[in-house]
Amino acid sequence: MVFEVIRPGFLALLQDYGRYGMQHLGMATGGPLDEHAFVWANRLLGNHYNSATLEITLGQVRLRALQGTRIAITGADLGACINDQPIVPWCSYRVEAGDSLSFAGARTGVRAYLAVSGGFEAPLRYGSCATVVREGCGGLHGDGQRLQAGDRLGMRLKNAGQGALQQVPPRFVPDYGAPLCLRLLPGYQYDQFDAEQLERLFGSDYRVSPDSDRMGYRLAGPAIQSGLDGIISEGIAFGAVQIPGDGQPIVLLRDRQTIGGYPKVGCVAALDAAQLAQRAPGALVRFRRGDLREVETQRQAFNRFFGIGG
Amino acid sequence: MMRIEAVGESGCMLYLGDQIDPQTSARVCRAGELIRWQLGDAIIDMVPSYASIFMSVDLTRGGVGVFCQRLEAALQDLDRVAAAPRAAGALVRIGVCYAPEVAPDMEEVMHLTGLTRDEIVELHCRERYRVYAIGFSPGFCFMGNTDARLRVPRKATPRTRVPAGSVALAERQTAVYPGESPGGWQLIGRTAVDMLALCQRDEGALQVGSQLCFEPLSLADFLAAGGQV
Repeated sequence: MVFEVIRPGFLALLQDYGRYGMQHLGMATGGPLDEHAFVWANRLLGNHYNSATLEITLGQVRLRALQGTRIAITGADLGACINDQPIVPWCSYRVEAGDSLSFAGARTGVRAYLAVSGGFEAPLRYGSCATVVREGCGGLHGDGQRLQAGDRLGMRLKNAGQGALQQVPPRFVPDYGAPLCLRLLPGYQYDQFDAEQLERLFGSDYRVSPDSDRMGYRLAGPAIQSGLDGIISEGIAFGAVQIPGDGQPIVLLRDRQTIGGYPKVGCVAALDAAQLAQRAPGALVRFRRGDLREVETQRQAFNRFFGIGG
Repeated sequence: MMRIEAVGESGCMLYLGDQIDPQTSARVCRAGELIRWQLGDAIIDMVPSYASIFMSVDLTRGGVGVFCQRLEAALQDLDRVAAAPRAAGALVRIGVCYAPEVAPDMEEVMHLTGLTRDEIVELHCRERYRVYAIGFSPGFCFMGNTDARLRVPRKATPRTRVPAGSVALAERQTAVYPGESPGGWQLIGRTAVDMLALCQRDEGALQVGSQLCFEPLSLADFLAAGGQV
Protein backbone atom coordinates (compact mmCIF):
# COMPACT_ATOMS: atom_id res chain seq x y z
CA MET A 1 0.00 0.00 0.00
CA VAL A 2 1.28 3.44 -0.84
CA PHE A 3 -1.22 5.92 0.67
CA GLU A 4 -3.81 5.94 3.41
CA VAL A 5 -6.64 8.42 3.03
CA ILE A 6 -6.84 10.61 6.14
CA ARG A 7 -9.30 13.14 4.68
CA PRO A 8 -11.09 12.34 1.39
CA GLY A 9 -12.02 15.98 0.73
CA PHE A 10 -14.78 17.25 -1.49
CA LEU A 11 -14.47 14.64 -4.25
CA ALA A 12 -11.51 12.35 -4.95
CA LEU A 13 -11.97 9.70 -7.65
CA LEU A 14 -9.71 7.06 -9.12
CA GLN A 15 -9.66 7.51 -12.88
CA ASP A 16 -7.83 5.75 -15.66
CA TYR A 17 -8.23 6.86 -19.29
CA GLY A 18 -11.83 5.59 -19.29
CA ARG A 19 -14.13 2.67 -20.00
CA TYR A 20 -14.40 2.09 -23.74
CA GLY A 21 -16.41 -0.33 -25.83
CA MET A 22 -19.33 -0.35 -23.36
CA GLN A 23 -21.42 2.64 -24.45
CA HIS A 24 -23.81 0.41 -26.40
CA LEU A 25 -24.87 -0.97 -22.98
CA GLY A 26 -25.58 2.54 -21.77
CA MET A 27 -22.38 2.82 -19.75
CA ALA A 28 -20.59 6.14 -19.50
CA THR A 29 -16.88 6.15 -20.30
CA GLY A 30 -15.88 7.98 -17.11
CA GLY A 31 -12.20 8.90 -17.07
CA PRO A 32 -10.39 12.15 -16.39
CA LEU A 33 -12.38 15.33 -16.91
CA ASP A 34 -9.14 17.12 -17.83
CA GLU A 35 -7.41 14.69 -20.15
CA HIS A 36 -4.47 17.04 -20.76
CA ALA A 37 -3.47 17.25 -17.10
CA PHE A 38 -4.14 13.52 -16.61
CA VAL A 39 -1.81 12.30 -19.36
CA TRP A 40 0.93 14.69 -18.24
CA ALA A 41 0.77 13.31 -14.69
CA ASN A 42 1.44 9.83 -16.02
CA ARG A 43 4.07 11.00 -18.46
CA LEU A 44 6.08 12.71 -15.71
CA LEU A 45 6.55 9.27 -14.15
CA GLY A 46 7.05 7.34 -17.36
CA ASN A 47 3.71 5.56 -16.80
CA HIS A 48 1.50 4.12 -19.52
CA TYR A 49 -1.08 6.77 -20.51
CA ASN A 50 -3.92 4.59 -19.20
CA SER A 51 -2.52 4.28 -15.64
CA ALA A 52 -4.93 5.03 -12.81
CA THR A 53 -4.51 8.43 -11.11
CA LEU A 54 -6.46 10.26 -8.45
CA GLU A 55 -8.66 13.10 -9.69
CA ILE A 56 -8.95 15.55 -6.80
CA THR A 57 -11.69 18.16 -7.10
CA LEU A 58 -11.24 21.39 -5.09
CA GLY A 59 -8.95 19.88 -2.42
CA GLN A 60 -9.46 19.39 1.33
CA VAL A 61 -7.60 16.09 0.91
CA ARG A 62 -4.94 14.62 3.19
CA LEU A 63 -3.05 11.40 2.48
CA ARG A 64 -0.35 9.62 4.46
CA ALA A 65 2.41 7.81 2.59
CA LEU A 66 2.92 4.20 3.70
CA GLN A 67 5.99 3.63 1.55
CA GLY A 68 8.46 5.62 -0.50
CA THR A 69 7.64 6.34 -4.13
CA ARG A 70 7.63 9.00 -6.81
CA ILE A 71 4.47 10.99 -7.39
CA ALA A 72 3.42 13.59 -9.94
CA ILE A 73 0.87 16.35 -9.56
CA THR A 74 -0.69 18.19 -12.50
CA GLY A 75 -3.78 20.24 -13.25
CA ALA A 76 -5.26 22.70 -10.78
CA ASP A 77 -3.13 24.35 -8.10
CA LEU A 78 -4.93 23.09 -5.01
CA GLY A 79 -2.27 24.25 -2.58
CA ALA A 80 -0.49 20.90 -2.42
CA CYS A 81 2.01 20.32 0.39
CA ILE A 82 4.37 17.52 1.37
CA ASN A 83 4.69 17.59 5.17
CA ASP A 84 3.04 21.02 5.08
CA GLN A 85 5.75 22.40 2.77
CA PRO A 86 4.13 23.89 -0.37
CA ILE A 87 4.91 22.22 -3.68
CA VAL A 88 3.95 23.37 -7.16
CA PRO A 89 1.95 21.31 -9.65
CA TRP A 90 3.23 20.02 -13.02
CA CYS A 91 6.23 18.34 -11.34
CA SER A 92 7.16 14.95 -9.95
CA TYR A 93 8.34 14.52 -6.36
CA ARG A 94 9.59 11.86 -3.99
CA VAL A 95 7.66 10.93 -0.89
CA GLU A 96 8.85 8.66 1.93
CA ALA A 97 6.92 6.44 4.30
CA GLY A 98 5.26 8.61 6.94
CA ASP A 99 5.11 11.74 4.79
CA SER A 100 1.83 13.59 4.58
CA LEU A 101 0.52 14.86 1.26
CA SER A 102 -2.23 17.43 1.44
CA PHE A 103 -4.31 19.58 -0.89
CA ALA A 104 -5.73 22.64 0.85
CA GLY A 105 -8.07 24.28 -1.65
CA ALA A 106 -8.33 25.66 -5.17
CA ARG A 107 -6.08 28.58 -6.14
CA THR A 108 -6.29 28.18 -9.90
CA GLY A 109 -8.28 25.49 -11.66
CA VAL A 110 -10.63 22.94 -10.16
CA ARG A 111 -9.15 19.45 -10.56
CA ALA A 112 -5.69 18.14 -9.72
CA TYR A 113 -4.30 14.79 -10.82
CA LEU A 114 -2.10 12.77 -8.51
CA ALA A 115 -0.17 9.94 -10.15
CA VAL A 116 2.22 7.41 -8.61
CA SER A 117 4.93 5.39 -10.29
CA GLY A 118 3.26 2.63 -12.29
CA GLY A 119 -0.23 3.88 -11.42
CA PHE A 120 -2.65 3.14 -8.59
CA GLU A 121 -3.99 -0.36 -8.22
CA ALA A 122 -7.73 -0.89 -8.58
CA PRO A 123 -10.01 -3.68 -9.76
CA LEU A 124 -11.13 -3.48 -13.36
CA ARG A 125 -14.83 -3.24 -14.14
CA TYR A 126 -15.56 -3.80 -17.80
CA GLY A 127 -11.89 -3.28 -18.55
CA SER A 128 -11.38 -0.06 -16.61
CA CYS A 129 -11.17 1.29 -13.07
CA ALA A 130 -12.64 4.69 -14.02
CA THR A 131 -15.08 5.77 -11.29
CA VAL A 132 -18.61 6.64 -12.37
CA VAL A 133 -20.42 7.34 -9.10
CA ARG A 134 -23.89 7.49 -10.70
CA GLU A 135 -23.48 4.00 -12.17
CA GLY A 136 -21.89 2.48 -9.05
CA CYS A 137 -18.99 1.36 -11.21
CA GLY A 138 -15.21 1.52 -10.90
CA GLY A 139 -12.95 3.02 -8.26
CA LEU A 140 -10.94 1.49 -5.45
CA HIS A 141 -13.54 -1.16 -4.58
CA GLY A 142 -15.17 -1.43 -7.99
CA ASP A 143 -18.50 -0.08 -6.70
CA GLY A 144 -18.25 3.49 -7.92
CA GLN A 145 -17.60 5.04 -4.51
CA ARG A 146 -15.49 8.14 -4.12
CA LEU A 147 -12.49 7.81 -1.80
CA GLN A 148 -13.35 7.52 1.88
CA ALA A 149 -11.30 8.19 5.00
CA GLY A 150 -9.39 5.02 5.88
CA ASP A 151 -9.13 3.78 2.27
CA ARG A 152 -5.71 2.42 1.41
CA LEU A 153 -4.41 2.90 -2.09
CA GLY A 154 -2.03 0.37 -3.57
CA MET A 155 0.30 0.90 -6.48
CA ARG A 156 0.93 -1.47 -9.33
CA LEU A 157 4.73 -1.36 -9.11
CA LYS A 158 6.08 -2.58 -5.81
CA ASN A 159 9.40 -0.79 -5.97
CA ALA A 160 9.33 2.26 -8.16
CA GLY A 161 11.10 4.89 -6.19
CA GLN A 162 13.95 5.42 -8.62
CA GLY A 163 14.07 7.75 -11.60
CA ALA A 164 14.79 11.42 -12.09
CA LEU A 165 12.25 14.01 -11.00
CA GLN A 166 10.66 15.79 -13.92
CA GLN A 167 8.81 18.98 -14.70
CA VAL A 168 6.34 19.75 -17.48
CA PRO A 169 7.86 22.36 -19.85
CA PRO A 170 6.15 25.68 -19.03
CA ARG A 171 4.76 26.11 -22.55
CA PHE A 172 2.50 23.07 -21.95
CA VAL A 173 1.14 24.38 -18.65
CA PRO A 174 -2.23 26.05 -19.26
CA ASP A 175 -3.40 29.21 -17.53
CA TYR A 176 -6.75 28.17 -16.06
CA GLY A 177 -7.44 31.77 -15.05
CA ALA A 178 -7.47 33.03 -18.64
CA PRO A 179 -10.78 33.58 -20.46
CA LEU A 180 -11.56 30.44 -22.44
CA CYS A 181 -12.59 30.28 -26.08
CA LEU A 182 -14.05 26.90 -27.03
CA ARG A 183 -13.74 25.73 -30.62
CA LEU A 184 -17.17 24.46 -31.63
CA LEU A 185 -17.26 21.97 -34.49
CA PRO A 186 -20.70 22.27 -36.11
CA GLY A 187 -22.64 19.00 -36.06
CA TYR A 188 -25.81 17.19 -35.02
CA GLN A 189 -28.73 19.69 -35.36
CA TYR A 190 -26.49 22.69 -36.18
CA ASP A 191 -28.41 23.39 -39.40
CA GLN A 192 -31.67 23.68 -37.46
CA PHE A 193 -30.41 26.79 -35.65
CA ASP A 194 -30.97 29.93 -37.70
CA ALA A 195 -28.26 32.51 -38.40
CA GLU A 196 -29.44 34.88 -35.69
CA GLN A 197 -29.25 32.18 -32.99
CA LEU A 198 -25.79 31.09 -34.12
CA GLU A 199 -24.60 34.70 -34.18
CA ARG A 200 -25.74 35.02 -30.59
CA LEU A 201 -23.98 31.79 -29.59
CA PHE A 202 -20.68 32.82 -31.19
CA GLY A 203 -20.93 36.47 -30.19
CA SER A 204 -21.87 36.24 -26.51
CA ASP A 205 -20.14 35.77 -23.19
CA TYR A 206 -21.20 32.76 -21.14
CA ARG A 207 -20.39 31.97 -17.56
CA VAL A 208 -19.86 28.57 -15.97
CA SER A 209 -22.88 27.72 -13.83
CA PRO A 210 -22.56 26.26 -10.32
CA ASP A 211 -24.61 23.23 -11.50
CA SER A 212 -21.66 21.94 -13.52
CA ASP A 213 -20.33 18.48 -12.75
CA ARG A 214 -18.71 15.42 -14.31
CA MET A 215 -21.78 14.83 -16.51
CA GLY A 216 -21.74 18.25 -18.04
CA TYR A 217 -20.80 21.89 -17.73
CA ARG A 218 -23.79 24.19 -17.74
CA LEU A 219 -23.24 27.66 -19.17
CA ALA A 220 -25.32 30.72 -18.42
CA GLY A 221 -25.81 33.54 -20.91
CA PRO A 222 -28.01 34.66 -23.81
CA ALA A 223 -30.49 31.88 -24.64
CA ILE A 224 -30.25 30.03 -27.94
CA GLN A 225 -33.37 28.55 -29.55
CA SER A 226 -33.37 25.74 -32.09
CA GLY A 227 -37.04 25.71 -32.91
CA LEU A 228 -37.01 21.99 -32.15
CA ASP A 229 -39.03 20.57 -29.25
CA GLY A 230 -36.83 17.54 -29.06
CA ILE A 231 -35.24 15.03 -31.35
CA ILE A 232 -35.26 11.26 -31.64
CA SER A 233 -32.80 10.16 -28.96
CA GLU A 234 -29.32 9.59 -30.37
CA GLY A 235 -25.75 8.88 -29.24
CA ILE A 236 -23.95 11.76 -27.55
CA ALA A 237 -20.27 12.48 -28.23
CA PHE A 238 -17.83 13.83 -25.63
CA GLY A 239 -17.98 17.62 -25.77
CA ALA A 240 -21.41 17.73 -27.45
CA VAL A 241 -23.19 21.04 -26.81
CA GLN A 242 -26.78 20.39 -25.86
CA ILE A 243 -29.36 23.17 -26.05
CA PRO A 244 -32.33 22.36 -23.80
CA GLY A 245 -35.61 24.25 -23.78
CA ASP A 246 -34.28 27.12 -21.66
CA GLY A 247 -31.63 27.84 -24.32
CA GLN A 248 -28.67 27.60 -21.93
CA PRO A 249 -25.88 25.45 -23.45
CA ILE A 250 -24.59 22.36 -21.65
CA VAL A 251 -21.23 20.92 -22.69
CA LEU A 252 -21.45 17.16 -22.06
CA LEU A 253 -18.45 15.50 -20.48
CA ARG A 254 -17.17 12.12 -19.28
CA ASP A 255 -20.09 10.96 -17.14
CA ARG A 256 -22.75 12.06 -19.67
CA GLN A 257 -25.62 9.77 -20.60
CA THR A 258 -24.87 7.74 -23.72
CA ILE A 259 -28.06 8.80 -25.56
CA GLY A 260 -30.36 11.76 -25.28
CA GLY A 261 -33.15 13.66 -26.96
CA TYR A 262 -32.24 17.33 -26.65
CA PRO A 263 -31.02 19.23 -29.72
CA LYS A 264 -27.26 19.72 -30.01
CA VAL A 265 -25.48 22.44 -31.95
CA GLY A 266 -22.21 20.54 -32.38
CA CYS A 267 -19.20 19.45 -30.39
CA VAL A 268 -16.47 21.33 -28.59
CA ALA A 269 -12.94 20.12 -29.46
CA ALA A 270 -12.12 17.48 -26.84
CA LEU A 271 -8.96 19.21 -25.64
CA ASP A 272 -10.91 22.48 -25.24
CA ALA A 273 -13.53 20.63 -23.17
CA ALA A 274 -10.67 19.44 -20.95
CA GLN A 275 -9.73 23.10 -20.32
CA LEU A 276 -13.37 23.93 -19.60
CA ALA A 277 -13.35 21.31 -16.83
CA GLN A 278 -10.77 23.43 -14.97
CA ARG A 279 -13.06 26.48 -14.86
CA ALA A 280 -14.87 27.30 -11.65
CA PRO A 281 -18.44 28.65 -11.53
CA GLY A 282 -18.55 32.21 -12.82
CA ALA A 283 -15.61 31.80 -15.24
CA LEU A 284 -15.98 33.45 -18.63
CA VAL A 285 -16.38 31.23 -21.69
CA ARG A 286 -16.94 32.03 -25.35
CA PHE A 287 -17.48 29.88 -28.44
CA ARG A 288 -15.83 30.22 -31.82
CA ARG A 289 -16.31 28.15 -34.91
CA GLY A 290 -13.63 25.45 -35.02
CA ASP A 291 -11.97 24.01 -38.08
CA LEU A 292 -12.25 20.21 -38.15
CA ARG A 293 -8.96 19.73 -40.00
CA GLU A 294 -7.05 21.87 -37.52
CA VAL A 295 -8.61 20.22 -34.45
CA GLU A 296 -8.12 16.73 -35.88
CA THR A 297 -4.44 17.38 -36.67
CA GLN A 298 -3.85 18.75 -33.18
CA ARG A 299 -5.59 15.77 -31.65
CA GLN A 300 -3.57 13.25 -33.65
CA ALA A 301 -0.31 14.96 -32.65
CA PHE A 302 -1.42 14.90 -29.00
CA ASN A 303 -2.30 11.19 -29.21
CA ARG A 304 1.05 10.37 -30.84
CA PHE A 305 3.03 12.33 -28.25
CA PHE A 306 1.36 10.59 -25.32
CA GLY A 307 1.14 7.19 -27.02
CA ILE A 308 -2.67 7.22 -26.78
CA GLY A 309 -4.39 4.37 -28.59
CA GLY A 310 -1.08 2.95 -29.81
CA MET B 1 -32.50 8.21 -46.15
CA MET B 2 -28.85 8.06 -45.17
CA ARG B 3 -26.66 10.86 -43.85
CA ILE B 4 -23.09 10.56 -42.56
CA GLU B 5 -21.56 13.39 -40.56
CA ALA B 6 -18.49 13.97 -38.44
CA VAL B 7 -19.24 14.96 -34.84
CA GLY B 8 -16.31 16.46 -33.03
CA GLU B 9 -12.85 15.42 -34.17
CA SER B 10 -13.26 11.75 -33.37
CA GLY B 11 -16.93 10.88 -33.79
CA CYS B 12 -19.29 10.07 -36.61
CA MET B 13 -23.09 10.06 -36.81
CA LEU B 14 -24.97 7.89 -39.24
CA TYR B 15 -28.62 8.90 -39.68
CA LEU B 16 -30.89 6.29 -41.21
CA GLY B 17 -34.32 7.83 -40.82
CA ASP B 18 -36.45 10.33 -38.95
CA GLN B 19 -39.17 8.06 -37.57
CA ILE B 20 -39.51 5.70 -34.64
CA ASP B 21 -40.70 2.53 -36.37
CA PRO B 22 -39.61 -1.09 -36.79
CA GLN B 23 -38.47 -0.53 -40.41
CA THR B 24 -36.04 2.22 -39.45
CA SER B 25 -34.85 0.22 -36.45
CA ALA B 26 -34.25 -2.82 -38.67
CA ARG B 27 -32.12 -0.65 -40.96
CA VAL B 28 -30.12 0.50 -37.93
CA CYS B 29 -29.48 -3.15 -37.00
CA ARG B 30 -28.50 -4.08 -40.54
CA ALA B 31 -26.13 -1.12 -40.81
CA GLY B 32 -24.67 -1.98 -37.41
CA GLU B 33 -23.82 -5.48 -38.57
CA LEU B 34 -22.22 -4.24 -41.78
CA ILE B 35 -20.19 -1.67 -39.85
CA ARG B 36 -18.98 -4.17 -37.25
CA TRP B 37 -18.02 -6.54 -40.04
CA GLN B 38 -16.19 -4.06 -42.24
CA LEU B 39 -15.03 -1.25 -39.94
CA GLY B 40 -15.06 -2.81 -36.49
CA ASP B 41 -11.31 -2.38 -36.01
CA ALA B 42 -11.56 1.39 -36.56
CA ILE B 43 -14.29 1.94 -33.97
CA ILE B 44 -13.86 2.41 -30.21
CA ASP B 45 -17.54 2.69 -29.29
CA MET B 46 -20.74 2.30 -31.26
CA VAL B 47 -24.10 3.54 -29.96
CA PRO B 48 -27.09 2.47 -32.06
CA SER B 49 -30.37 4.20 -31.30
CA TYR B 50 -33.86 4.55 -32.83
CA ALA B 51 -32.81 5.97 -36.18
CA SER B 52 -29.08 6.57 -35.96
CA ILE B 53 -25.73 5.14 -34.98
CA PHE B 54 -23.04 7.13 -33.19
CA MET B 55 -19.49 5.89 -33.60
CA SER B 56 -16.42 6.93 -31.69
CA VAL B 57 -13.50 6.52 -34.09
CA ASP B 58 -9.98 5.24 -33.40
CA LEU B 59 -7.83 8.09 -34.71
CA THR B 60 -4.66 5.99 -34.92
CA ARG B 61 -6.21 4.53 -38.08
CA GLY B 62 -6.75 7.83 -39.86
CA GLY B 63 -8.89 10.90 -39.42
CA VAL B 64 -12.62 11.09 -39.08
CA GLY B 65 -13.04 12.36 -42.66
CA VAL B 66 -11.40 9.22 -43.99
CA PHE B 67 -13.61 7.13 -41.70
CA CYS B 68 -16.77 8.80 -43.03
CA GLN B 69 -15.72 7.91 -46.60
CA ARG B 70 -15.05 4.30 -45.64
CA LEU B 71 -18.42 4.18 -43.91
CA GLU B 72 -20.23 5.44 -46.98
CA ALA B 73 -18.57 2.77 -49.10
CA ALA B 74 -19.35 0.06 -46.55
CA LEU B 75 -23.05 0.97 -46.55
CA GLN B 76 -23.51 1.27 -50.32
CA ASP B 77 -25.51 -1.93 -50.48
CA LEU B 78 -27.33 -1.48 -47.17
CA ASP B 79 -30.81 -1.75 -48.64
CA ARG B 80 -29.92 -4.61 -50.96
CA VAL B 81 -28.48 -7.03 -48.43
CA ALA B 82 -30.65 -9.27 -46.31
CA ALA B 83 -30.21 -9.13 -42.56
CA ALA B 84 -27.69 -11.69 -41.38
CA PRO B 85 -29.19 -14.43 -39.24
CA ARG B 86 -28.50 -13.55 -35.64
CA ALA B 87 -28.50 -15.33 -32.35
CA ALA B 88 -30.37 -12.39 -30.84
CA GLY B 89 -33.37 -13.15 -33.03
CA ALA B 90 -34.87 -15.38 -30.35
CA LEU B 91 -37.65 -13.93 -28.24
CA VAL B 92 -36.52 -12.98 -24.73
CA ARG B 93 -39.18 -13.60 -22.05
CA ILE B 94 -39.17 -11.55 -18.87
CA GLY B 95 -41.27 -12.62 -15.90
CA VAL B 96 -42.99 -9.64 -14.25
CA CYS B 97 -44.89 -9.40 -10.99
CA TYR B 98 -47.75 -6.87 -11.27
CA ALA B 99 -48.87 -7.20 -7.61
CA PRO B 100 -49.74 -3.97 -5.74
CA GLU B 101 -46.65 -4.36 -3.52
CA VAL B 102 -44.36 -3.77 -6.52
CA ALA B 103 -46.61 -1.65 -8.79
CA PRO B 104 -46.75 1.80 -7.17
CA ASP B 105 -48.26 3.53 -10.20
CA MET B 106 -50.80 0.86 -11.19
CA GLU B 107 -53.70 2.82 -9.65
CA GLU B 108 -52.65 5.96 -11.54
CA VAL B 109 -52.30 4.04 -14.81
CA MET B 110 -55.76 2.48 -14.26
CA HIS B 111 -57.12 5.96 -13.74
CA LEU B 112 -55.30 7.41 -16.78
CA THR B 113 -56.27 4.60 -19.16
CA GLY B 114 -59.68 3.66 -17.79
CA LEU B 115 -58.59 0.02 -17.80
CA THR B 116 -58.69 -2.54 -15.01
CA ARG B 117 -55.54 -4.03 -13.53
CA ASP B 118 -56.15 -7.32 -15.38
CA GLU B 119 -56.65 -5.53 -18.68
CA ILE B 120 -53.42 -3.59 -18.24
CA VAL B 121 -51.47 -6.77 -17.46
CA GLU B 122 -53.06 -8.55 -20.39
CA LEU B 123 -52.26 -5.74 -22.86
CA HIS B 124 -48.72 -5.33 -21.53
CA CYS B 125 -47.99 -9.07 -21.84
CA ARG B 126 -49.69 -9.56 -25.21
CA GLU B 127 -47.28 -7.47 -27.28
CA ARG B 128 -43.86 -8.40 -28.61
CA TYR B 129 -41.58 -5.45 -28.06
CA ARG B 130 -38.59 -4.33 -30.02
CA VAL B 131 -35.54 -2.88 -28.26
CA TYR B 132 -35.14 0.48 -30.02
CA ALA B 133 -32.28 1.85 -27.96
CA ILE B 134 -30.19 1.12 -24.88
CA GLY B 135 -29.10 4.02 -22.70
CA PHE B 136 -30.18 6.41 -19.94
CA SER B 137 -28.49 4.00 -17.52
CA PRO B 138 -26.54 0.74 -18.06
CA GLY B 139 -28.85 -1.93 -19.47
CA PHE B 140 -31.92 0.36 -19.77
CA CYS B 141 -33.75 -0.83 -22.92
CA PHE B 142 -36.25 1.50 -24.58
CA MET B 143 -38.92 -0.83 -25.97
CA GLY B 144 -41.93 -0.25 -28.18
CA ASN B 145 -44.54 -0.05 -29.18
CA THR B 146 -47.04 -0.57 -26.43
CA ASP B 147 -50.74 -0.97 -27.23
CA ALA B 148 -52.24 2.47 -27.88
CA ARG B 149 -54.62 1.94 -24.93
CA LEU B 150 -51.61 1.78 -22.57
CA ARG B 151 -50.33 5.18 -23.58
CA VAL B 152 -49.61 7.26 -20.45
CA PRO B 153 -47.56 10.41 -19.89
CA ARG B 154 -44.42 10.48 -17.76
CA LYS B 155 -44.95 11.55 -14.16
CA ALA B 156 -45.04 15.32 -13.70
CA THR B 157 -42.48 14.98 -10.90
CA PRO B 158 -39.93 12.22 -11.48
CA ARG B 159 -39.14 9.91 -8.57
CA THR B 160 -35.70 10.37 -7.07
CA ARG B 161 -35.45 6.61 -6.46
CA VAL B 162 -36.96 3.98 -8.71
CA PRO B 163 -36.30 0.45 -7.37
CA ALA B 164 -34.15 -1.89 -9.47
CA GLY B 165 -36.22 -4.18 -11.70
CA SER B 166 -39.16 -1.76 -11.97
CA VAL B 167 -41.22 -2.31 -15.12
CA ALA B 168 -42.48 0.98 -16.48
CA LEU B 169 -44.58 2.76 -19.10
CA ALA B 170 -44.17 6.15 -20.77
CA GLU B 171 -45.96 7.26 -23.94
CA ARG B 172 -45.92 4.28 -26.33
CA GLN B 173 -42.80 2.81 -24.70
CA THR B 174 -42.04 0.33 -21.95
CA ALA B 175 -38.80 -0.40 -20.09
CA VAL B 176 -37.21 -2.09 -17.10
CA TYR B 177 -35.04 -0.01 -14.74
CA PRO B 178 -31.98 -2.30 -14.42
CA GLY B 179 -30.64 -0.67 -11.25
CA GLU B 180 -31.97 1.82 -8.74
CA SER B 181 -32.02 5.28 -10.29
CA PRO B 182 -34.12 8.42 -10.54
CA GLY B 183 -36.88 8.18 -13.12
CA GLY B 184 -40.17 9.60 -14.34
CA TRP B 185 -41.89 6.60 -15.92
CA GLN B 186 -45.05 4.99 -14.52
CA LEU B 187 -44.21 1.83 -12.54
CA ILE B 188 -46.63 -1.06 -13.09
CA GLY B 189 -44.60 -4.07 -11.94
CA ARG B 190 -41.21 -5.50 -11.13
CA THR B 191 -38.93 -8.24 -12.41
CA ALA B 192 -36.15 -10.21 -10.74
CA VAL B 193 -34.28 -10.48 -14.08
CA ASP B 194 -30.89 -8.74 -14.31
CA MET B 195 -31.28 -6.74 -17.52
CA LEU B 196 -27.67 -5.57 -17.69
CA ALA B 197 -26.52 -9.21 -17.48
CA LEU B 198 -28.90 -10.07 -20.34
CA CYS B 199 -27.27 -7.33 -22.41
CA GLN B 200 -23.85 -8.84 -21.82
CA ARG B 201 -24.42 -12.50 -22.62
CA ASP B 202 -21.99 -13.96 -25.13
CA GLU B 203 -24.80 -15.65 -27.04
CA GLY B 204 -28.18 -14.14 -27.66
CA ALA B 205 -27.47 -10.94 -25.80
CA LEU B 206 -30.24 -8.39 -25.52
CA GLN B 207 -29.35 -5.61 -27.94
CA VAL B 208 -30.91 -2.98 -30.17
CA GLY B 209 -33.28 -4.89 -32.45
CA SER B 210 -33.93 -7.74 -30.00
CA GLN B 211 -37.50 -8.96 -29.45
CA LEU B 212 -38.82 -9.18 -25.94
CA CYS B 213 -42.08 -10.00 -24.17
CA PHE B 214 -43.36 -9.99 -20.59
CA GLU B 215 -45.05 -12.82 -18.71
CA PRO B 216 -47.08 -12.36 -15.53
CA LEU B 217 -45.58 -13.81 -12.40
CA SER B 218 -47.25 -14.28 -9.01
CA LEU B 219 -45.77 -12.47 -6.04
CA ALA B 220 -44.66 -15.83 -4.61
CA ASP B 221 -42.87 -16.80 -7.85
CA PHE B 222 -41.32 -13.32 -8.08
CA LEU B 223 -39.93 -13.64 -4.55
CA ALA B 224 -38.75 -17.19 -5.23
CA ALA B 225 -36.86 -15.88 -8.28
CA GLY B 226 -34.98 -13.47 -6.02
CA GLY B 227 -37.25 -10.44 -6.44
CA GLN B 228 -37.33 -7.76 -3.76
CA VAL B 229 -40.46 -6.04 -2.47
